[in-house]
Amino acid sequence: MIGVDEAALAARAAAGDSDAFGDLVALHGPMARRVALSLLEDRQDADDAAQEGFLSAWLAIGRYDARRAFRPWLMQIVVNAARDLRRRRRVRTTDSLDHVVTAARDDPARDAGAADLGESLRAALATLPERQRLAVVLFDAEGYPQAEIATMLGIPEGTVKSDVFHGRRALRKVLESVKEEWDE
Amino acid sequence: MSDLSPDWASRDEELGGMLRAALAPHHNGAFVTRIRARMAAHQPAWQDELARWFWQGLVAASAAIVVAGWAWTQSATTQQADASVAIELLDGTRPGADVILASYSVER
Repeated sequence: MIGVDEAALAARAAAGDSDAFGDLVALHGPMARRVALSLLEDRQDADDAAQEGFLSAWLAIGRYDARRAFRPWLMQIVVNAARDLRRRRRVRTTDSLDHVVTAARDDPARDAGAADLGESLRAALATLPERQRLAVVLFDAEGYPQAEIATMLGIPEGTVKSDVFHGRRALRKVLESVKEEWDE
Repeated sequence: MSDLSPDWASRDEELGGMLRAALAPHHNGAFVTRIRARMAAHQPAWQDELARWFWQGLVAASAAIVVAGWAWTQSATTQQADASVAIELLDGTRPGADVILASYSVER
């Protein structure tokens, strides 16, 4: 998918070309699934949410303005799908992360080193408020401008900056504890 | 992650990379295939709308064709009737044709 003309694909998709939309799914699938996982903490739930998001986007493709960027439009739909699923499955937690999340909530710096870095990071993310997770992941991991994140989440840009700051601080605490574990 | 100022607008590349790795999904091909399959079963709203308008349009066009055909047939029948009366008058085969032609010429 390197060198793909996303704008051209989006314009074709907007005209009802399902193959073009399929190419956009292949292009943005990993990002959508990462963002959904940051909210839902469970890979199956994340994939379900991303899938619902893509399908909703496909069904609403007639409302997409092809003169505007496709990625933020799509990501807003995926985030909404993940939030909906999160609300519906709030009681459900993942077995694999339960112990780490609980430990991180009690004392992020103590138990994080027991798990690998990826698991620790996911667990640390799970301790953050939903908005902070999204702000950090969308900004630092996915490269969205803060103004675009603000529009996507319906919050002021200053709030995004603040959420990124607090989210980073919490994640750094966990990462430092993991590094300390490795150094010992 | 060296600068934690809330106003700092640059991405933290190191943290971003670690987050992408931690959240990396598996089997993107299977995911895409699953969505393509579901897309085939679900058409966008505008296509549904188009399909609905297509059938309504087809019904309207059919009705218009029937009406136009009926009007054309009626018109052709009238013209044919007018022509046959004129021929009969000119041939003189119709009884009283000479009287009718005479009165027509007087009116002119």
